[in-house]
Parts: sequence; C-alpha cells; structure tokens
Amino acid sequence: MLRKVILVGLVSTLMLLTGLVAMAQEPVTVEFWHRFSESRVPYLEQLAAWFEAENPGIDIEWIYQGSYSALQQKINGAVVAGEVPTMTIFYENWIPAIEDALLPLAPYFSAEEIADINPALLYPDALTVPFNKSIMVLYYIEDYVPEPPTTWEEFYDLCVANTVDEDGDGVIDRYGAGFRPYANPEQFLCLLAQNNGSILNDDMTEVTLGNEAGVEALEFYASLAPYSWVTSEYLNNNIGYVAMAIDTSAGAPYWISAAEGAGLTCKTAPLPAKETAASMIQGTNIGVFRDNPQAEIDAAVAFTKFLLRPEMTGYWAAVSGYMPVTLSGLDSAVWKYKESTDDTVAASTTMMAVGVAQSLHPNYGDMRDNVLTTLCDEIMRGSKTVADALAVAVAELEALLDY
Amino acid sequence: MNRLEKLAFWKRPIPDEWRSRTFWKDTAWAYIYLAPALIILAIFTFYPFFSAFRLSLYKVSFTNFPGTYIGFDHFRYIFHDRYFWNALWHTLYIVGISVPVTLFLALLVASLLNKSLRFRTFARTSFFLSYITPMVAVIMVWRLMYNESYGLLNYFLSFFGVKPIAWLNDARYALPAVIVLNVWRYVGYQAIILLAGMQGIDQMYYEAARIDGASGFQVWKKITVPLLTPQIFFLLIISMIGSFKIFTEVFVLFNGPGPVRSAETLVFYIMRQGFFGTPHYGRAAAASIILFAIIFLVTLIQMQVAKRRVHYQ
Repeated sequence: MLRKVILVGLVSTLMLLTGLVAMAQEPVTVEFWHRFSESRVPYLEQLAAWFEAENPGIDIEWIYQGSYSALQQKINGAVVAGEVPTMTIFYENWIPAIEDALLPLAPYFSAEEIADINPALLYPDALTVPFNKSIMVLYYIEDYVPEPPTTWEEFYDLCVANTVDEDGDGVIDRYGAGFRPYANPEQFLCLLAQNNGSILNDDMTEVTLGNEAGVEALEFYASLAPYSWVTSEYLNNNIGYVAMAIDTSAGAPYWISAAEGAGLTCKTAPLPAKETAASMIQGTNIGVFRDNPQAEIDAAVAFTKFLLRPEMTGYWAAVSGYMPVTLSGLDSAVWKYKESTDDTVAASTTMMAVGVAQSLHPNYGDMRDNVLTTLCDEIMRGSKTVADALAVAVAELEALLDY
Repeated sequence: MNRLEKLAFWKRPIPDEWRSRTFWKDTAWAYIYLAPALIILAIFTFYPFFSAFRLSLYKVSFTNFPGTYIGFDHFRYIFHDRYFWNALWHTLYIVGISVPVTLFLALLVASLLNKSLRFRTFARTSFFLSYITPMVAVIMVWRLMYNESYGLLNYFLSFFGVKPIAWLNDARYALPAVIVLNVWRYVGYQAIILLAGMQGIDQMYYEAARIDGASGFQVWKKITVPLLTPQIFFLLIISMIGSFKIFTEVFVLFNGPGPVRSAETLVFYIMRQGFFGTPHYGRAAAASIILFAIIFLVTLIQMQVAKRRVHYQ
C-alpha cells in the first residue's frame, strides 16, 4: 500500500514539475496591434525577428486592425471588455480616454534615454513613446516649379503663376496648390505655427486661434483658395493637377512614384516660412496596457526600448518613410545612409527640427475633427468669410475647453 | 365592453385549450424551435437596443464603464448642436426626394416590365442587378462616374455644352449626387416587388374595365395602382426607413461628410459622435434614440394613413 502511495506521489510530482517546466519554457507572446499597410509589414516582421533572436522565448505577434478609426474603436472596446492587447500604436489624442488602462513607461527608461527622444515627440511623463512619426513638407512638381518657395510671399506668387487654363476652355487645367481642408487641417495648422500662432495657449485654458497671428494665418490660407484645388481626395492620386502641396513626409514614396508614372518629377522641400519655420508632426505612439501578465508587460517594455535603439528607429524610418524618433536615431548609420541616397529626406529632417506636436487637450479630437476641419473647409470653399467662420470656430473651441 | 375591460385579461374566463396537456406540449415545442432565433435576436438586437437607451444617459468612460450618470445632458447638447440640425435637414431632404421619386420610377418600370416586351426576362434581371451588387462596389463605380475630370456623367453633359460639374466637390451638388445614386440603386428592387403585386391582380378587374371601355391609362390609374397599395405601402415604409439610415453612400462617395458637411446625414452624425474624433458613445447613443424616435413617429403616421388608403381587395 505504502509503495503505491509513494509511486502515485512520485508520478504526480514528476507531472507537476514537467508541467511547470513546460510553462516556464512557453514563449511569451506580445500582441501588438497596428494599422500599417501591407507594404510595411515585412519591415515590422524584420524588427520582430531581430528582437526575438536577442530574446529567445518572446514572440512578437503583429495584428493588423484595419483603418485608424477601426483601430481606435477596437482599442476602446478592448479596454471596456478587459481584453486588451499587450501593446498598440495610437494617436496622442486617443490617450486621455484610456489613460488609466496604460502602463506609464517612464520608470522603465533612464534619464538619458528619455532625453534622447526628440523633445517635440515626447508625451508628458513618457506615458507612451513615439514610434512612427512623420512631418509635413512641401511637395512640388519640378517641371512646373523649378525652385521651391521659401517664404509665404513666394509660395503665393507661385500658386498664382501655376494656376493655368492651358487650352483656354475656361476650365483650370492645373492649380498652384492642393488643399484637403476637411481631411487634413494640419496644412493650415502648419501656416498657423509658422506665424507663431496656436489653437490654445500653453496651459490649454484659453483659445488663442482668434488672435492676430491666427487671423493673419487664416487670411493667408483663404487668399490661396482661388489658386488651389480644394478636395477631399488624396492629392497624389491627381498628380500634375497641382503644382505644390503641403503633405506628410510619409507619403513621399506615393508622390514620387505617381509623378514618375505621369512622366513628371516630384521633389520635397522645407515648408515656406513666415515669422518662423515650423511644421506639424504626424503619426502615432506606442503604449503598453497594464492589465496583462507581468511576463508580457516585461517583454512589451523590452520591445519598446528595442524599437527606440538608434539603429532600429533609424532602420524603421529608412524603410517605412517615417522619421527616426530619437536624436541618436537621426545620427544612426542607417539613417545617414538614407539621407545620402534619398533627396526627399533632407526636407523632412529640416522640418522635424522645427516640428510642432498636436495639442494634448483631451478634447483635441473634437477640436480637430469637428471644429478645425469645418473652419478650414468653409474658408477654402468660400462658403463663409474668415471673420464669420473664425467667430463660430472660436466659440465652439471655447465650449470644448472643459472636459 | 370598453377598451380597458378588453385589456383586463384576468377577468376573462380561462380558455378551454389551456386545460389540454397537448396544448402546453405543442406550445413548449414551438418555443424550443423559436429559441435559437429568439436568443440571437435578444443578444444582437434587443440587448444593444436597450443598452443604447442606458448609454445615452451616461458620460461613457472606457476605463470605468459605463461612466458617470448625466441624465439627459446628451439630448440637450444634441438639440443645441448646429451639425445635428444640418444633418437632420439633409436626411429629410434625401427622404423627401428619394422616396417618392424612386417609388414613382419603380411603378413606371414595373408597368413596362408587366407588358409583353421582348427580352423581358433580361430587362427584369438588369433592373434587379443594381440591388444585388455589393453597395461599396456600386458606390465606387459612381464615384468614377461623378469624377469632375474624367467621369462619364460630365462626358455626356459635355455634348450639351455643359461645363464640368464638381459633383463630389461642390456643396451644391453633394446631396443631389447622393439622391441620384440612391434612386438608381433601389428602383430595380422596388420595381420587382411591384411587378409581383401587379401579377397577383385578378384579371377579372381588367376584363370588366375593358368591357366598360376604359382607356389604358384609366385602367392603370383606377385599377392597377389602387390594387398595388399594399406593395406601395410596404415599399414606402421600407424605403423611408432605409433613406433615414443612409450612411455608406455618403461615407464612400465623399470620404467624409461632403464639402462643408453638405451631405452629412443623421447616421453620419451618429458615427462622427461615436467613432470619429473624441469618442462620445453616450452622445452617439442619444442621437441614435432621436433617430429611432423620428423613424418610429413617421412610420406611425404612415400606418394611420395606410388604414384609409391601402386596398387589399
């Protein structure tokens, strides 16, 4: 009897130990939600492969979640359901709604590492860190604009000169510039920043859009309307129809290939400046969700730090069309090589040095998507005067200050 | 017996079949067969429906769901929001034009298809194609046709000396563009329903009319149309509800609510509140309830009118 008891005990212990060993060896899977296009996924896989080779036992699983809007809905739904991924990308203005579900990343970074992140890209308290960032630059068709403008005045003159009815049928065949006021109010926000203007004051308690700098920027924006193709379509899909456009640097591959397809040459340049040189930063950050097993959190944090290494952010930027997010990344060999071989990059680097981040006001999503888009659309389509549209916009922004 | 007495079921005598075991057995089986459908309905229709009512009273927090109870604040916000009134006006505009025009054209098409035409089967199939083709694919094709520079529509108009129209890029044409697409899409479907109704009309009415010397138009007006009122009424309700809920057409055609929000409909407004910009699920739920109330009210009015106007024989 005793023998049997001992035997059963030994077998049970053995099974338990085997189970524990198996559990210990089970790879930690990091679920990473993203929305990158198919062409960029191989580069993500490459980053994961390098990380996994350094960290056996960790498996990075990239999960595509559709459009940015779909990604946001899924993140919010996952937080409500308590079924969050390990980490995800998101825009800064999505963060306030889910802030409590996120793991603050600052404690995992040294002061030097934090200081290395491009200051314009750093989220307060390093709750999240930047990943895929781009900047607004000027695209111009060299066949129409041999020398890019450097000032607002030059930009305006070139817009006027390039708005032409080539066949004289009364229909404009080419516009000086292209604007997407509803889809891309950042085009106007670049002008606002160049004129030392802003939507809100520094502590986000007051609307400053209606002050002198804002009015002047809006009036300049409105003055471009007769010489601009105003649309909701992607401008590079209609290459040759516009001579110049302010657009994200991440779109460079599309602009260049579209121009080549049309037998034209498209180049990039820093944005024309006014009081100062400035441009709007675009793109998303990385966040880790706290409601996950510790092993997954540790792996996610390790992967986040890995992505910020100079050679990794440099590699990702070089292959994806985005920008390195750390200062050391800008100096990395891979980025330097990219700069030496791709003449669209110089403009991005110049503009990133004067990049302006989007407002971190918790209601910025509404401010942008409801108020600024309408303001820009009304002005560029001439349905309201600058004064009328601005008065309504300022009132609506003020109503959104409280949250 | 007044209405209240009719409702007082506890005063009524117990029906005889209730005493039969077979009755209860059959009833139990009926519910067992219905159970899968009822469970699916309960989970995917009733629960979200009543949840929307609850959410509309909360400032929703994702990290502390459902969030803070705020009573009817969302409704107050919506009724003071200029975009809501714009969206309501655009929706009513679409419903007001699209529903009667589609029905009228469908009636004409059905009347033609009811004649002994050559290639009648081909014509019937062709008209129905627009309805069975996936909506997004159809809208993408219309986007191309509406294109200002190389669209088919402007190409045809150019023969008449009309300068290119920015159908999708000019606030004046945005709603007409949506209406034309909507009418085109549903004419075929409605025509097939009406055609089925026409073929169910007893021939004796037509024979009697012919004997009385009625003209073709008189027969159509006095016999065909009145006896089609059940189908017309059905289509009126279905298309009215569909037009109130129009969203995909706008979203795909314009990549947004149209120039200067000129084509923003109520469902687009709801989507924008809930899913674009800062997500306001409570506000979106409140707007959904307002849309439900509008559709419910209009349907009730239609049903009252139908009591007097619909002829089943």
